[in-house]
Amino acid sequence: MEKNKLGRGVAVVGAGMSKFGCFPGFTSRDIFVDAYKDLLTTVDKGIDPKDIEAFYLGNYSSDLFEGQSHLAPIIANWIGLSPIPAARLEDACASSSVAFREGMIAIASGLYDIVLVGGIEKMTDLPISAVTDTLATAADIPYEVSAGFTFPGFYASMATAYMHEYEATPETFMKVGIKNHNHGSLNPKAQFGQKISEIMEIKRANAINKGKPAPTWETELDFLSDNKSNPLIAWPMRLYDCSPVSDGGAALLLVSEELAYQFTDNPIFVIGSGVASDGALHARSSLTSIPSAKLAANKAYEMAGVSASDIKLAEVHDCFTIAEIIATEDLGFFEAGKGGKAAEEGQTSRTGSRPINTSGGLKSKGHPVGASGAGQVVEVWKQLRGQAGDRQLDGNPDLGLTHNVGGTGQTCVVNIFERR
Amino acid sequence: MSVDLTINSYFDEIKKKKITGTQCKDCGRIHLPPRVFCDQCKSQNLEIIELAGNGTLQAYSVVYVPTSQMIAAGFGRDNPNCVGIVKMSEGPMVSAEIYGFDLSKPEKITIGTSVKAKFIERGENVILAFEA
Repeated sequence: MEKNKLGRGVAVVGAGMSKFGCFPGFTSRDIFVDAYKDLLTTVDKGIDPKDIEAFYLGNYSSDLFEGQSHLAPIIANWIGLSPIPAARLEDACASSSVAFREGMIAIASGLYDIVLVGGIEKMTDLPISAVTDTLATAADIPYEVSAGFTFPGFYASMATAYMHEYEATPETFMKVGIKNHNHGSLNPKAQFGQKISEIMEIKRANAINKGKPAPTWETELDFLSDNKSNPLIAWPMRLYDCSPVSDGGAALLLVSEELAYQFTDNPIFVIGSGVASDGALHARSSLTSIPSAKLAANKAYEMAGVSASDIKLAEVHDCFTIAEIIATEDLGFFEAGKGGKAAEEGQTSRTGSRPINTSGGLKSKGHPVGASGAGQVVEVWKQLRGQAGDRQLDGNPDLGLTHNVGGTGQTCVVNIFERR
Repeated sequence: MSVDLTINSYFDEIKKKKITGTQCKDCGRIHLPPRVFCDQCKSQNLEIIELAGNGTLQAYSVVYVPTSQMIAAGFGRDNPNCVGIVKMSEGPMVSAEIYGFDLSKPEKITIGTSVKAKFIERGENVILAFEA
């Protein structure tokens, strides 16, 4: 039987990322160099790259996005780490959280002491229809995609089911986007470094410069309800309910607990980890929650010996605004059906009682799918070490959580981090 | 190859305008599409059944940025496609194209509406869809 316990402790002693965004002319190798160099500057007492014993890379689909597969040894070689073992892990948008977990297990097993975990995706070379098709391959092609579904369509369907079952309107979802843009405006690595109100002002100025009539929006909700400024992608999800198409990379240095203080006086320990898998959305017991997320969270809480109420901050998988609401319920932060109201009331903002996605989340920080899970760890690591700059949470947070979904929940990984 | 029930064999039945699923002889669960292993009790002791084609809409969306497959079928920003998850009267749920609603008012589409199977011939394929 599963013990749900690590063989030995594992710490994260370095965490870096590239800026997330749209970087024409830069391949995934170039972008990973940026993330890896950033990581090296974050190891307080330094790391000799010769001591890194293995590389686990999360990447969804460099094959389709860039026409390049076998990416782990290629990147390992490019950053000078050959001939160490290098493996690419793919579980759609959860790829780098799965890579993290495999790196963690490898250290916990005693096989390695020092492991590099990465995540990378280069999505913006393809036209949007090819990006839509490539992302759709993470769903069940014959049974779901052939029925006309896209990823926005899946989450939009969860949103209509949620609106039917609970009190929520399209404005409930918009408020999640407004909040995450507010957070992202404080994150220099975010793809969208602007609040919705700032985006409105830029668009208003552009319209006036071009001699067009000035838009009449007064509030952020006016702007977000306007079919022109915020077109429908899949009812009720509009453009600003969807995470963007992004390029980006993230890199993490994992070491055994015994070695952690050789690298820093302030290591962050991974004390809980859970993962679960599932089938197609239509085959699930619920359309308003993600069963694999609940299972992964319960495993992680059990391993860590903590409960939802102990968690001070969480980076959750807000690939769509509805997804953040469902995530906060699946993780036990709010009762089923109450997450939307909690978001509307500001409880999930960085100044609220339950800060969610202080980085800006996938919505504002960006969603280079194979890098998103590792990017979540970067944010939690910085917040727990008091290094999150302008967006640093008050109160010296000591426990943080990451929640990373693959597809519509065919995979979900939850990890819990502690500062001692 | 000792596999009788395949992904394609289900779609071959759809081409004949028959909706086939499986029922687990051990736990009674009904699956659509049909399965080789029961997703509830892991049994391989399943029998093929035919479903009547009646269901209710459980979730839906109107898609304005479709896949290239749907673009080729004529859908897009000006002609969006409706997708949904339908719970069959026999129990299982399935993903499908949905017809019979005014897509210019997506907020008026009602979850719980009764829908009936409709087979759409598109090129060489026959698509299982549902109509309100």
